[in-house]
Amino acid sequence: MAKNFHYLDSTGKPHDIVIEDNDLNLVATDRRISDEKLKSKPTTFFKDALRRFAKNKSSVAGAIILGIILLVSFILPSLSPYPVDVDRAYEKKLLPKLFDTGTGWWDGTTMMNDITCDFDWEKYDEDGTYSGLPADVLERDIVGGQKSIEYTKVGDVKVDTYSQYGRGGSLRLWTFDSATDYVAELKSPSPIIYDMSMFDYQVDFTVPAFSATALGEKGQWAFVIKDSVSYDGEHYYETVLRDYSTEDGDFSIDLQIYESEIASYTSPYFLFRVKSSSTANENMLLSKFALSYGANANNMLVDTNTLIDDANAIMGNQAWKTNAGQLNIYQADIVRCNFRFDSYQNHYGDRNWPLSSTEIRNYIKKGYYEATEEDLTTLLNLGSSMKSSDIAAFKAKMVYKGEGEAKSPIRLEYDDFAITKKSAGGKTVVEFSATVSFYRYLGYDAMPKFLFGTDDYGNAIVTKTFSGLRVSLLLGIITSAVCFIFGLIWGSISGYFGGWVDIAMERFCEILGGLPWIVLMTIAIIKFGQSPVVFAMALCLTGWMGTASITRTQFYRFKDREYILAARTLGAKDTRLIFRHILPNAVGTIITSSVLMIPSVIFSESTIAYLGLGLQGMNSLGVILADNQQFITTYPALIVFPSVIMALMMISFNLFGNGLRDAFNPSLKGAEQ
Amino acid sequence: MVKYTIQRIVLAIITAFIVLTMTYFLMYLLPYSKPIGTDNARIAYYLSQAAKGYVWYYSTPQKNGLELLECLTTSDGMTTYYFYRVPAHVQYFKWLTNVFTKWEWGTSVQIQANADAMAIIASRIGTTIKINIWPVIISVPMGIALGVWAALKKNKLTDHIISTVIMIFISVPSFIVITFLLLVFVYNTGWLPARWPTQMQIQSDPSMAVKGYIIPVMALSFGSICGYCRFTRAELTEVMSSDFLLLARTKGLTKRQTIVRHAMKNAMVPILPSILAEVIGLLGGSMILEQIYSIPGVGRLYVTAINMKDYNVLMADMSLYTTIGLLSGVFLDLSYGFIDPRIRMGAKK
Repeated sequence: MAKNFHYLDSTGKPHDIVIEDNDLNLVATDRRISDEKLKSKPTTFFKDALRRFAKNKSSVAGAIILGIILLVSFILPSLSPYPVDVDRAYEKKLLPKLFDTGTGWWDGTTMMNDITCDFDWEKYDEDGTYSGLPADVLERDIVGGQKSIEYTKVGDVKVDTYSQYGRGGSLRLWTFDSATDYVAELKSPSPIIYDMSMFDYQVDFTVPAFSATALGEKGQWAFVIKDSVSYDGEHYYETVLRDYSTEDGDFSIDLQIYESEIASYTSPYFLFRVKSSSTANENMLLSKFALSYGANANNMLVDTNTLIDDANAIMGNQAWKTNAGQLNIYQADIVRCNFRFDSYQNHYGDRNWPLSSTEIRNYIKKGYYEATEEDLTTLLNLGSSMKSSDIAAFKAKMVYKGEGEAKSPIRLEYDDFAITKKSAGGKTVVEFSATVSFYRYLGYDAMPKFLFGTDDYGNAIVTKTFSGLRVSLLLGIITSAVCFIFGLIWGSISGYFGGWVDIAMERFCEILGGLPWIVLMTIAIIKFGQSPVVFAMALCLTGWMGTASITRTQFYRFKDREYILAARTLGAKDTRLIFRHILPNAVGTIITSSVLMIPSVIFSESTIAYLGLGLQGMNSLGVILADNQQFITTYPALIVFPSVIMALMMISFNLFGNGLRDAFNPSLKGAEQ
Repeated sequence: MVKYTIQRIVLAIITAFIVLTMTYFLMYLLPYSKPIGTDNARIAYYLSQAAKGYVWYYSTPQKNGLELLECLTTSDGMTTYYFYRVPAHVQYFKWLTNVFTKWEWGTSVQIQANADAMAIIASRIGTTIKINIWPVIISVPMGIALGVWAALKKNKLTDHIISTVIMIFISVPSFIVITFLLLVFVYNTGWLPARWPTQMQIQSDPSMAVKGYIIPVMALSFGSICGYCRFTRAELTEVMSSDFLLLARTKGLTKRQTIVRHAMKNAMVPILPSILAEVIGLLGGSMILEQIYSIPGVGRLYVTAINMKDYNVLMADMSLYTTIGLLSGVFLDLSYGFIDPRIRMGAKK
């Protein structure tokens, strides 16, 4: 049917439009057209943030590294066969080792330079060959054996102190006339040490331009010792003058020094007295000098103090004068050497070691030798009636059997398996000793390799660092979680309600924030001890304020939005508004800040440990770093590895946190970069 | 503006006061360190403490809730002393009167016996300031210059390199940086001394006086440079994307003119207050650096006082740190107002 539309246009003219039925054509009558699903996928806030995060390559790298470190730190210490908290006395301070010994790098060896050498002077005197091991080093610890030691040339290195490995040198004595110095040259090499409790010294010296013959017979002159007890800080030594003599112009004094029971001391000194022939003075003191020495006689010093009674005495104008107190042995020859030191051989190599009968029984039980347990028991039961034939019989049975050669700690090829019978306190005690392969003795099947070495307690640095990291991380995560929850609640209340509540809470935060955290930490630690709980509490005390202030800011941003007003108009309660509307918007920034709190907690804890107030009993990263600081010169690997791990972790945390911050920043939504 | 200033300063003073009071009472909670020795020696010590007002003594036991320290009798058995610790509030008021009327902060017991605590601090502040001023002088221009460069070449190779280096140095804790510096410069090559040179070493080798500065200054500057660089870069990039700069460019200014005349001033706004705050923070010293490098400064004094439990020096030191912290906060806030006219006018951002 027709419809008639009548209207007036802008100028007032009337128009008529007629619409017929056939003007209207229905199209697509065979289909239902309704709303179609959106072609693009809907995205949530978090998915969008994840996409933004994934685009930022450095954050992804940071997250991956962080993930790896966390995974390793939680798994690795549990995999280690030995607990990290126990000291292992024989494996301290091993060097890092990855490759086999001899490659020169990362193989458990290090070059040791300028080590005093126990030089074989006699061999050198005979045929000029250089030989001798460095002091206190066994040949098995040197990579390449004796042939690879580089020696300094004899005569190139001279020292001005006494050394038991040195030779020669002189006692320099001065006169008034500096143009003619009398040099008393020491004739003997080192003093002869007979046994540890007595040192026999023979000090021979010549004074070339001045001969004792001028002084006349012995009896006209004498050496006397006064105040014979001296003290080196640990022991009292008494010096006894056994004899003195002269021969062809050489003076020689024989001394004996031994530990004394007398517990009061002065400094012993020698007097050289000459009877004057020009005056009637009987005991005219011409020279006085002292000898003093350290605990193992490595420093022999000559102190001279001249008391001249009459300068124009027997020697005319030649009186003996000091040179400012101490005169050392002067310019003695020593030889130094450079060599490559294998710390693994040093710790694990073959060595002669006392064994107990239980240990021998254990090894026999494992079937390494032909001997049986009954043989051992029979031997032990013999007691005081044990004869050398019984011992020899048992020893004959100690040969390898089965896997013995590969696995037995006792290395029979050195042929020094010794059984001795001693009687102590009425009982007979049987002592065994042999050369053992020390790593087998400690229980390893093969010589262990520590990738980054061990520290001063004998634990592998890798395991210790990661277990310390675990402790630090736990502390950080717990502290972060507590601060996060508390700060969130505080900030929400403060931000949501505003007004007087807000102002009061703000002031409280300011005052609490004004207390320097190091003050709080130290007071808490001094008062309550150094357990992890105290640490966590002290860190939480001021840590929540960061989260609280960020939450508060976020609340202020979202509080006045229209949708909040709309929800409130619809009758939503306060809690619903907070938890359903405001917080989900604010959560991005808050999560970022709490993630970034973890590294700062770890950093604070390390700082405190460095200042000496670290955790007791548990090793955390800071404690490990602080403990190893003292080895920075000698074993830098000990501090490099934990530092690198800590730096890596902090860097990746920061990258991750930055990425999170950019990802959750709503103003970047839709931005290209 | 003036009203705001006065408000902030008064608030800071009140906060400082409250904080110091709380600290004092917390320190009082720490156990009293009792002397050791013969009875007579201990009696003499307690009597000297009583003369300073920390201990009361009576000849009969008191029952009014005081904390009994010890009950000692002289060796001739003539006098019996009961030593009580002065209650917290009494000691606190005495301390307050001492500080405000006589500027007497107590005497040190362990660090330098019978020296005034403030005098000890004053003798060390000189070294701390001398060391800390150089990083500020070096790092501010360098940090800002690097930040500007990185912002101008944003997202190119230079920017990436600088950002990475900054990221590394910011993340790595300061003591690790110091350890590595020591490893490289002192123990491997031996150029620089491992400790702060003493007077004797300086006399024997005058160049040590300069060499001793190098490692501390380097260690402190790295952190500052990175902080300024990052800050400058962020601020400058944000300013460079704002509308008024676009307007300036369309009006015909070259890039260099827009940046120098307009962008830089806006970007510097947040940086200058932080420079100011850092200068004030100079007085605090860095505890870790001074501990590792054995510099006789204020930071090390703090650590030593804690370890030796010398409470008078500790209290004086803590007051110093608290005051510095609050002062720098106040200055920071006030200087924002001076530099940024928008805040001065009270406009909403």
